[in-house]
Amino acid sequence: MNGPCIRFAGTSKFYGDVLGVMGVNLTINPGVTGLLGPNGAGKSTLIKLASGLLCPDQGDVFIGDRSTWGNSRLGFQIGYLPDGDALPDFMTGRRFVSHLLRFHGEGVRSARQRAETVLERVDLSQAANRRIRTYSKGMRQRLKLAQALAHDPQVLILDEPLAGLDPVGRRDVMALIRQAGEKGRTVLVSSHILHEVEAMTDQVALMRHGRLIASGRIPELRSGLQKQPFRIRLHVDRSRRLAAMLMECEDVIGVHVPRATYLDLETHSPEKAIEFLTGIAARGEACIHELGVEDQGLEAVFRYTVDR
Amino acid sequence: MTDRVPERLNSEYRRYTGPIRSRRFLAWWPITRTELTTRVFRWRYILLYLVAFGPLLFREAILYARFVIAPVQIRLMNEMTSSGMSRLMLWDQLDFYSDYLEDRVLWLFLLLATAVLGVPMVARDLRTRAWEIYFSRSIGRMDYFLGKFAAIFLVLFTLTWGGALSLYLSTSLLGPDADFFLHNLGWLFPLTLYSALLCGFLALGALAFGTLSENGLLLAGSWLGLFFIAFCIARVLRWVRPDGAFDWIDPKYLLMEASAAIHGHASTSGFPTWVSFLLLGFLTVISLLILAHFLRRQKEGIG
Amino acid sequence: MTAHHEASNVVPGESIVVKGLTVEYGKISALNNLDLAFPRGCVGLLGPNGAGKSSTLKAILGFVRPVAGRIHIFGIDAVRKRRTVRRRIGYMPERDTHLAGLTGFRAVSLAGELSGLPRNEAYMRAHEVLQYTGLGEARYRSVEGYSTGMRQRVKLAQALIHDPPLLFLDEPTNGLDPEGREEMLTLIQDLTRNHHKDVILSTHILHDAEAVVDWVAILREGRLVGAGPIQDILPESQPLFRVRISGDPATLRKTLAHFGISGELDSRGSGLLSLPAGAGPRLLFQAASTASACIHDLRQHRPGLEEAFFHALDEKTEKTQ
Repeated sequence: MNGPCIRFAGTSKFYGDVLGVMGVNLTINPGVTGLLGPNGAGKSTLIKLASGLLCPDQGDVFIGDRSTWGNSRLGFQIGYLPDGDALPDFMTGRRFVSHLLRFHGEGVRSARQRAETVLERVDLSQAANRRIRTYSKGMRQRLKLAQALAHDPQVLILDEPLAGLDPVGRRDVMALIRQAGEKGRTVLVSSHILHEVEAMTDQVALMRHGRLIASGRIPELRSGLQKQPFRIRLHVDRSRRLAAMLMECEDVIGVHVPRATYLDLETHSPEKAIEFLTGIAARGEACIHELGVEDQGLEAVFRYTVDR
Repeated sequence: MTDRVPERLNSEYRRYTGPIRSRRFLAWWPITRTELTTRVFRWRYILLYLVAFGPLLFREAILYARFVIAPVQIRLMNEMTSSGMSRLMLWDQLDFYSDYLEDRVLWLFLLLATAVLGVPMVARDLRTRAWEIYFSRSIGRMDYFLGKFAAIFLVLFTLTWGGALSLYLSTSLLGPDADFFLHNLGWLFPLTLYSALLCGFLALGALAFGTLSENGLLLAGSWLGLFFIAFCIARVLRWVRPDGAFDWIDPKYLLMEASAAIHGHASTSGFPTWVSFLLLGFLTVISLLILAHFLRRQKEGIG
Repeated sequence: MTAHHEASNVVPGESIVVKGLTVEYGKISALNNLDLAFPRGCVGLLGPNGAGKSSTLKAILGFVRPVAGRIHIFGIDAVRKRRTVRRRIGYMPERDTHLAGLTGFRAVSLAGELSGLPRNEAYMRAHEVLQYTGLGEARYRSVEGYSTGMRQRVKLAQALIHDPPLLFLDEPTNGLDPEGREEMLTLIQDLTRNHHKDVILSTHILHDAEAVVDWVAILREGRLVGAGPIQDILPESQPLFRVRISGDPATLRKTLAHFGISGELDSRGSGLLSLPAGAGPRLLFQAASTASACIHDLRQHRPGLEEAFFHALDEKTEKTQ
C-alpha cells in the first residue's frame, strides 16, 4: 500500500523579515523525491514544515489529508531525520531507539525487538550498547536513520541522510532509501550531492531563493528546457555514412562529426532519435559502439534552472 | 545566499616569498596580542574597568589632597585617623603601597576579571576545537598556554603592580621629600614580588580551571562560586573560632598573610605564615596538574 | 563519461613516507604497522570510518605520538621535528573548527603569524588568500556568523596562509551546495595543476575524489589495503556495458536471456550487461528492437574509483604498493 502524499498548498514561511519559503505549491508522491537547491534556498524550511516543526505563515501543509501543524498523531506517520546533532549523549543507542518506540505505544518487549531489527539494518548492532557520547559522526548519522525507520512510518523525511557516512555507509543507505521508495513509502530526501540523488530517484524538486522553481521527473524537466537541445554522442565505425542517414531523420536538427569515429547529433526529441538509432543499429545499417545522451542528467537540469 | 562566489578580480594564488621568522621565544606573543585586542579591550567591560580603577583613583586623590591642596591636609588627617584609616595616611611607609595591593575592591576586580576574561579563554577554544588550528601551526603546546596565560596575567599585573608603581611615582613627584624615589627604591622589590605572586596565582588557576569544560559560562560561574563558598565557610568558622585559626580557608586571607610576610608588616589573621605559603603552593601545584591532565587528554582527543 | 586517469599526471618523488607506523589509544589499536609512501601531486586517502585515516593525519601533524614507526615529510623526521614539519603542511580540518570571536580576516592572519609570518606580511597575505578562496566582504565579520560554505573557505585560507608545499584537506566539500562543491574542487585543481602543490585529500565522497586525484591509498582497520594510480587498483573484469534501456521490464528480461545477454536491470532500466563471447554491441540493439525497447545509453563500462574502492575493501589480505 502506498504512503500518503505530502502536499504544500501555497505555503509561505517567514522568519521575521527574512524569507524562508514563499508560495510553494508542491505535491510529493509515493516513492523517493529529491529536494535540491543552493544553501539558503529554503530546503530546510520546507523540510521542517513537512515534519510539523514549523507552522506556515500562509497556506498549509498536508500529509495525506491532515495538516502537519498541531497534528499530534503526525509523529506516528512520519520518520524524520534531522540535520542537527542533538542526540542524548548519556543514553546507549539501543535504549534511545527502544524508548522512542515506547513513545509510539509499543510494549516493552516488542519495542526492544523492533529496535534490534532496525539497529541491525543500519549496521549498529555492535555499537548499540555503548553510550551515544562515544559514537563517531557516521554512527550518529546511522542512529538518526534508525530512529526515523524504527516505527516503520509511511512517510520518511530525511535531511542530508548521507552526511558523515563513509562510502560503504553511503552505498548501504542509498540502497535502503531506494528500497523504501520501491515499497511505496513517500520519501523526501534533501541533499547537496547531485549524483547520489540521481542514483536514488528520478523525481526531484528544485528550489531557489525560497521559491520552488521546478519539480517532476528529471527527463521531463530536461526536455522542458527548450532552449537547450539534447546532444547525443555516438561512437561509430563510419560516421559519415551514419551522418547522411541521420540528416534524413526529421527529429534531428544538427549533426557534427568532431572526430573520425565520433558523431554528435542535436535534437529536441531524444526519444524519437533514440528509437530511430535503435532501429538502424539492430538492422545492421550502422555499427554503433557507444551512445549516450549528454547533458541530460540531474546536473544539467540543476545547472540550467538553478544556476543562473 | 548561496555558497557561490561573485565575480572575482585578481583572484590568483600568489606564492609567499617573504621572510619566515622562527621566533623561538616569542612565538606565543601573537596569541596574547589577539586576546588582548579582541577580548579584553571591549566597551562592554567598561563598568568592570571603572570598578578596577576605583581604589587606585581613591588613593591618588588622597595623595593629591595631601600634598597639593594644603588646607585640606590637616582636616583630612584628623578625620581619617579618627575613623581608623590610619594606614592610608602613611605615605612615607611601605604599608601605604602594599595596602593598595590588599584592597578589597581590587580583589573583587581581580576575581571578576579572571572569571570573565581568564576562565573562558581555553573553554571557548575547546568549544570551537581551535586546538586543531593552533597546532597545525609551528608552535608548541607551551606557546599556546603561555600566550593565554600572558594575556590574563598582563591585565591583572598592569592594575596591581602598575597601580602600586603609579602611587609610588605620584608620591615621588608630588611629595615634599625630593629623595623619596631613590631612598625607597627597595620597596619596589616586595611590591613586585607580591604582585607577581598574586596575579600569577590567579591567572594560572583561571587558566587551569578553563580547561575543565567547553562551557565557559558555567566555568566562570563556578570559579566565582568557589571563592564565594570559601569566603562563606571562613566567615562561619570565624564566628566559631574568633581568633581566626580557620581563616586560611578564605583565599583572600591566604594572600593577605603572604603579603604581610613579603612586605614585612604585622598580619591580621590568626594562622601562621607558613600555612599560607604552603596552601598557595599546593593550589598552584593542583593547577599545574590540571593542565598536565588536560594535555594528556588532548593527545587522544583531537580530530 | 568517466575521467581517464593517467599515471603520467603523477610527478616523480614522494611527499610523505610512512614506515611501520603504529598508533594506539590506550588499548585500541588505530594503526598497525603501516607502510605507505604518498607520491607528489594530488592524492586521495580513503577508507571507511575507523580505518585510521584521521590517526594517520594526527600522527603526521604531531598531534599524537606514535607507538612505533617513522614518518618523513620531504625527508624531515616528522616525529622529532614537529614544528619544522608543520611549517610545510597546511591542514584544513574536517570539523567546524574556528578561532572563536575573531573575524575571518583576524583568524587567518593570526594563523599566519603563528606560522612565522611577520605581522605586516601576515595581514597582506591574509587578504590575498581570502580573496583567492572567495571570501569577500564577509571577512570583516565574526566567524561565528558564517554559513558552512564560508567556514570552509576560511579553513582553506588558514591552511594556505603560510604557503605550504603540502596540503592536507579533510572533507573539503563537507556541507557545501553543488556550486560550492564545484568551486572547491576547482580551487583544489588549480592548486595542484597550476601552483604545483601536493595535496592529500581525504573524503567519503568518491565522486569528488575521482574528479581531482590521480593516485589513492585505501585504508581499512588500520592497514593499507590498496594503493596506486586508480586504474592500477581496479579489479579485473570482462568487458561490460553500462546501458539504459526503456521498455517493459518483463519482456526485456526474457529477450535478453534469449539472446544470451546476462546482467540485471533496475526499475529504470539501467544496469550492467555482459555479452556472450564474440558478440558486439549490435546484439544489444537487436535484443532491444525485438523487445520493442530503445537503448538510451550504451557505454563500455570503465570501472572507476568506486569499483576500485569496494574491490580493495573486499580483499582480505593487505596489498603492497
